[in-house]
Amino acid sequence: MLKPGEKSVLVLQSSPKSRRLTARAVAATGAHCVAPPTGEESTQALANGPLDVLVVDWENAALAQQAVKLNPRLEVVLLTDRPAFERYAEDIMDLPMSSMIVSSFVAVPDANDPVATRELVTTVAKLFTGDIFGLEKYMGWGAAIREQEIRASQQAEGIVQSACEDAARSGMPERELSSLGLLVDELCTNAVWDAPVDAEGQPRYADKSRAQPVALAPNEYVTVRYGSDGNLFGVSVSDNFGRLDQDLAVRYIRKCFRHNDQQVSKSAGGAGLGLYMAFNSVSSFVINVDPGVRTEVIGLIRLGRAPKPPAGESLGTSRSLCYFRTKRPKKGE
Amino acid sequence: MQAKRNLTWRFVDSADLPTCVLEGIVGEDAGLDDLVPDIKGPARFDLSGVARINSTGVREWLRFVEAINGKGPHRLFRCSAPIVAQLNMIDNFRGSAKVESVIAPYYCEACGHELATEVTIENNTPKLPSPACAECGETMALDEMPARYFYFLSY
Ligand SMILES: [Zn+2]
Repeated sequence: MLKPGEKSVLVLQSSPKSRRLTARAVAATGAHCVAPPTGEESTQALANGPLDVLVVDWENAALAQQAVKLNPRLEVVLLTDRPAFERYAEDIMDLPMSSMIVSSFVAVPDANDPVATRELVTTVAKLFTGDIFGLEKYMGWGAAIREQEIRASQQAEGIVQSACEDAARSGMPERELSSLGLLVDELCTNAVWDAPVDAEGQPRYADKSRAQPVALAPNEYVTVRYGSDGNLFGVSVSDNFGRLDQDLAVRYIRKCFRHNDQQVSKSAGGAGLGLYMAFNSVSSFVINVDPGVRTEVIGLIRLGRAPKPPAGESLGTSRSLCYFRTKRPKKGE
Repeated sequence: MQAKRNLTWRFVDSADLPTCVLEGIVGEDAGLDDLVPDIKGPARFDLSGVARINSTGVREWLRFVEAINGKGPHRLFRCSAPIVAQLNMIDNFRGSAKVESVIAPYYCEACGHELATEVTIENNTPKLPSPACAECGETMALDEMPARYFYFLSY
């Protein structure tokens, strides 16, 4: 029985070890967590409801489809050691997910990775509370987060440089520094050029050449925050428009997984690749949106080495993609 | 202070083909159009100094590749990690050019020392070296899964 106000989570994972690790992480949020060992008990648990969050692995993903049909408010987290979005992107993106932690090493038998565990706890807690914004939620306590503001497009490169300098001081390996540079570059470009709209909702700069500098209006200023907690270097870039919806983000990222000549837009504005390239630069990519009010995109890069992927998974990489949206009660609710 | 994004290039003497060394950031202002007339026939491009290439830079680069494709066959060598990432991500990034070598990350399990070293590609296969660690003498290994870092060789 649930206590009043208690949240309920169902974990459907085939590997007993993964199931235990996941249940342990979920329990850290104070939720009531059920992790049934067999398919029959899973179906039973789904039918029993009420359920707030469902954590599934790849093998149980079909049950997620079913569960969301029954309960459209259900939040679904995919947690799998299936590697590389590159290979499974099309299928994964069709699932009714709030968050996808793909190839997380929480899910790998015998790997108990504190960074991945923290991310799962954060993900589930954000889904419960609706308190979605903030880089701090992904960083250990004590991390010094630096904040800078972009008021004109030309300032972005200076911020890229100072983030990279801070990261180098934090011990980020050389090759990750180039990923970080790309991440900050793309997120800033997106927030400066693509986010702003006028009163009629028309994009202000999206079709302009990126080579022409723009000075932003005060409501268009972009906030960039970054810092290290010794395990991760995190960056967040926020704008005041909240226009990046899940479908759009997924559409851009998914389009780019297809290796074909549609990958790069030939129009004057952005190349349509920015989100994909930012996503490819990080181990975790988080999109927080309060529609019409604010978008915050967070990228996290590991400072140390990720645990080794399962044997035989030559393309394996730990990478997650999470989308959170502020929910407002609809009229009459 | 406002840093300016830029890309520079210079031609260096080389035994066989004219060799163009590119350095810096390939972004919206890369200006690669200006390089097109200087590529008069098959050329080699040293890309070890390309520190970053962003999404608009990719578009500039693809346009450049298209413009010089007919004057090839060209060769790309010492491709930096950011270039390798694009080779793996973007269809047609190399055009019809052949990739001769890349800069790959190496790691010493024993002491944690890191090294970026050149890996040549022969018959579409990376020739992985086993360098000795400059710090402790142990053998260093590629710090990536080969199938992942050299994904571009598979298509
Ligand atoms: Zn060593």
